[in-house]
Amino acid sequence: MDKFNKPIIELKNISKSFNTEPILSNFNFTLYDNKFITILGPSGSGKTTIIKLIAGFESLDNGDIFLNGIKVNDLPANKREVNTVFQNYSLFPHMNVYDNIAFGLRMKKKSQDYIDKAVRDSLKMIKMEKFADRKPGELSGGQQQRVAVARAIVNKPLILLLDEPLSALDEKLRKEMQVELKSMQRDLGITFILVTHDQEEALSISDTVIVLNNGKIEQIGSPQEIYQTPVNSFVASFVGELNILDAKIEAVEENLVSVIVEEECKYQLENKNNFSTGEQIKILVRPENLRLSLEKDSIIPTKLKGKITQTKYRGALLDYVIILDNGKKVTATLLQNKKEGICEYKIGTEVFVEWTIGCEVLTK
Amino acid sequence: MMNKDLFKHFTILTIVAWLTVFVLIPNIGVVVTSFLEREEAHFVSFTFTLDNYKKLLSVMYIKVFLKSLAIALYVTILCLVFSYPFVYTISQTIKSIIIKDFLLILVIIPFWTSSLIRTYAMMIVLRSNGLLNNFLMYVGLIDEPIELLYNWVAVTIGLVYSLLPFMILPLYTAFEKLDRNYINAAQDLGAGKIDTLLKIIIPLTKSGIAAGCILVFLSTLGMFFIPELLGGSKEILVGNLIKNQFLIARDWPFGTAIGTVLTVIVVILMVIYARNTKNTDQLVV
Amino acid sequence: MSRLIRLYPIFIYIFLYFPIIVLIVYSFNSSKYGTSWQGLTLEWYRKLYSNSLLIGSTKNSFLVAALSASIATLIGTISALGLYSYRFKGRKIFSSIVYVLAISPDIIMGISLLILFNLISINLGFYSLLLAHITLNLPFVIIIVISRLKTFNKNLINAARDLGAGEWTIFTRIILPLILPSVISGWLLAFTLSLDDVVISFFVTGPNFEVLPLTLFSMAHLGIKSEINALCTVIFAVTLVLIFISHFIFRRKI
Repeated sequence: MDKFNKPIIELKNISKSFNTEPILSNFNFTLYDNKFITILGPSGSGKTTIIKLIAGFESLDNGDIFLNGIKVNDLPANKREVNTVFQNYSLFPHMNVYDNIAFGLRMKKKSQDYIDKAVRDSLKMIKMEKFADRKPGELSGGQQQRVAVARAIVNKPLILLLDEPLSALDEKLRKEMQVELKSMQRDLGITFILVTHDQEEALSISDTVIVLNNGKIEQIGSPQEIYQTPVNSFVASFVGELNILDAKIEAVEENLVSVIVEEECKYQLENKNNFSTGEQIKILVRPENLRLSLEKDSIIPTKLKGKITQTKYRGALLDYVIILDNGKKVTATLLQNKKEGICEYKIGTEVFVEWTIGCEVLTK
Repeated sequence: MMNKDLFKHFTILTIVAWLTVFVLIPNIGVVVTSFLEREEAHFVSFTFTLDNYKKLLSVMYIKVFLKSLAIALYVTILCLVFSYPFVYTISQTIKSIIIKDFLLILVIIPFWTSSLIRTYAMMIVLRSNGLLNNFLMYVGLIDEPIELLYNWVAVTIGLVYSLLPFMILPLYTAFEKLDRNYINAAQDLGAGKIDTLLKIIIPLTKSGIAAGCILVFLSTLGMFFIPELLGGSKEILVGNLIKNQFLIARDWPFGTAIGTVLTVIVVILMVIYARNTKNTDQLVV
Repeated sequence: MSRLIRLYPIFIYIFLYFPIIVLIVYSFNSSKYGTSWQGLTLEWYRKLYSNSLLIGSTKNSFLVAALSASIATLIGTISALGLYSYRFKGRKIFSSIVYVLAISPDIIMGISLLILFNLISINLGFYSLLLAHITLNLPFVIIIVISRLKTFNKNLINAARDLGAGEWTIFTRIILPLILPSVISGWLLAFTLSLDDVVISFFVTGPNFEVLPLTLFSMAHLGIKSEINALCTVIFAVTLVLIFISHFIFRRKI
């Protein structure tokens, strides 16, 4: 945190309700760097509301918004140095691509030469130089999306807001655009704030992820932090697949705890959360960290027994759904490659489950 | 069990037959009659003549046509100027759907009310010992009642009064179709209220403007009873002219000649309208 | 500035309603020529009731309105179906004619039908007016029903066919029930148009068949009278009822 720079964005104690239903209450967030930020959350979590408040399309009930240190609560949307890429692009249908992109610059009364150069440059950047005269109705979804981004970026805003910009695109196009957006952000050095509910998207392109739920920030961190060390079960289960095992703390020794997992197996794990003896906790493990085998282990049981009930072939990966003896369901994901050996268990096979120690997260 | 083809032929035949008998043939009849001579007993005698059209070329009648077109234009422009801010305000500033709905019904009520009744009501307000005059005298603006009725001002007011809903409703439809996000996008890019209005809202409500204008313009051309009630016998427009030929002068051929010219004007306007509207297979109102 | 703009619609509403309200108020005014307020009275309404000419006109108008609306709705619904579903030679032409008719000045229809009736020697009276009003109403019913058909889910028809239904069954059991609100709206609009029509009635009705708008028109020529005020108020009330009904049908949405 750099104390001498003003934060790019600061949201202080924001509250916002729609029709007496509170969306955000006492929401706080500060951003210093020019990075690619993603706000990730389920529908209704308030993520679109935050964008609208920053852009100025909605007004605050309570709290303050600062952009570059200046309070902008009452500043109307058309005066804020923020630009938005809308979910359905909202390209002006009666103007061609050139005029769409030039619009913001014309509003700022830039000179014709400046506008022409800026628009041509941005058309080059999105590789659509030949489309300047086309109308939005003549463009494909992906092309419209790029024009929408160009129209916003050409104004060199402080922050670029993107409201689920890729949700209408097909899988392949989406992945291409994700890469393009990422490199655009790097090249331009503008802060991008992207809103999405797609956790894979969030993980792959962000520098920082904010996980939002019911108007509250659950966790802020890098994609790695969010995925590998989620602070609670919401974050853990929202981002990626998750297995939740019940365990009881048997003993505490220095920084290790002995746990009985699913009343069957005994493990010694790192005690990061300062649990005490007798506590009931949950152990969160990602499916890719589970290991399956057909052999029982030695005298002290460390593997959970179960039966395979479903398999899902995913090309490079194979998912197994296993029902443990005590009824609990877990999912294991195994990599399929020639080196490890193609390992296919059939439905009904009895297997033994364990996980790579150290890859788990303990929580209440 | 009616089979598919029979049903198809039945439905198509219905509309084709009715339109042919009651629209195509009569209108052909009108055009034909305009080239015939008048006759006492049967209104027309089957003698070909161009006299009716020659008569129309006189200054007096051309003046009537021009005056009708001019008044139609004034009325259309006035309706547009009054209606656009009205619809803009209601559509943009009111967020509650219930209130919007209610306000819309308040427009539909005059729309469905007979123009005759509304014109008569306007007569009450405008006449010599009517409300408007009494109010102006009460307030001291005038000493004697002004002759508000029986001139082209009253006719224009009466036409605007009757036709205002015809402009409001298509505009309203166009405004409701307008995606709020376009306005957000314009503001996001720095446009103020005026720029947003001129560069985004007006272009995107063009279809409503066109539909309202053509509705009002064409309606003005045909409604003879409004000029007659509010303009007395002084204000002769195309509609009154035609009516007089059929009713008083009993000169059907001449009446149909005027009617034919009117029809030609109407068709020309509709073609222009259709060309400029994107959906040419439906003149959507 | 934006505060002032918000008040603007109020002025328009005042403009639209003021004359009508004056009319209604004066209909209860005991002063005969409605010059100054002289007290509440129902005298004019009583006079209306005993005016046989008016009663006759009213009955005639309602009869023609109801009949022409019903027949036009029938023909119009079937026609709309034909125009919408099938491709045939002249489809575009007839479609265009329908739309052109809807927005053309009525006077053209008036004189053309007069010529027609003269040609085939139909006497001007009830039948000529009925036929004319059906023709007047037809385009509007067709346009309303076609608008609804455009949002109709075609798969429903395919499903019915798949299950063995014939055309007539599909029409009566599948299509008609679902487009009914629009059909009813069409009927109500047609009824109102017929009831209020002045221009066409002027040309195609005869001396033996008086209709309300024409009676009203000739009365209005003579100047303002309280009886007319009462009559107008009654007609206005009927219109309100019709709008009410139509709006509630539309509430269920098409």
